[in-house]
Amino acid sequence: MRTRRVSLLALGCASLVIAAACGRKASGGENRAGGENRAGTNTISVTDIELGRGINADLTIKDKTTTFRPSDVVYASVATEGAAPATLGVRWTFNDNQVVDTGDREIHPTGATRTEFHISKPDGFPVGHYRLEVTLNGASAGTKEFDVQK
Amino acid sequence: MPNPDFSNVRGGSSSTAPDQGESSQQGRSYTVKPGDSLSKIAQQVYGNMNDWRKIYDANRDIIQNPDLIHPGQTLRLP
Repeated sequence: MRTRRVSLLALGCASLVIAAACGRKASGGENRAGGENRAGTNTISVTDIELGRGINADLTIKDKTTTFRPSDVVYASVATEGAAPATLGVRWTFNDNQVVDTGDREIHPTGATRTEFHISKPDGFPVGHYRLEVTLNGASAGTKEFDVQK
Repeated sequence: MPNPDFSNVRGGSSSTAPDQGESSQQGRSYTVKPGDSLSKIAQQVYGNMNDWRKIYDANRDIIQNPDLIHPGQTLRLP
C-alpha cells in the first residue's frame, strides 16, 4: 500500500516537471521570433546592425569598428526591410547593467531603409565594455557589443 | 567603485524612411550630412547663410559648439 502511494506521488511529480519543460520551450520559441513585426499583410524586420565612427549620407557606416576611443561619436546603422509603420528603439548600456542612453524613432518606410542612432559624450566615454540593444516595436531585434579603449 | 556618470551623453537619430507628417511645415527638421555647416544649411534652407544663428538658437540643447555639428544629427528648423 505504501509502495503504491509513493509510486503515484512520483508519477505526479514527473507530470509536473514535463508540463513545466513544455511551457518553457513554447515561450522560448516565441522569443526567437523577435525582430519582425506583422501588421496586416505588411511586415517589417531588422536585417542588419552596424557600428562605426562615421556615417555616410545614405546612413550606412563609414568607418566600421567595435573598438572606439573615448572621444568618438558612436554610430549604429540599423537596416530594415518592409513597409509598415514601426518604432525602432535603442538601449545603450555599460558593463551590461548601467544605462548610458535610450532612444527611439518612429519610421514609416516604403521599402528598404537605414536608420542611424548615435551617442557622444563631451568629456569622453569611460573605458569599458558596452552593449547596444535594438528593438522593433518593443521586441528585441538584435544586439551589438563594443569596447571603448584609450 | 562608483558608476560612471552618463548624464551628459547626447544621443540622436535620423532615418532614410519618412517620418509621419514630415512634409508638414510645422516641425520641419534637417538631418546633418557629411560636410555640412550651420551656415551652409542656412543658405540651403533660408537662402541666407547669415541665418545660421536661427538654427543654432533653436538647437542649443544638442549643439554645444556652432562650429561642430555631426552627420546624422537632426536639427529643428525654426
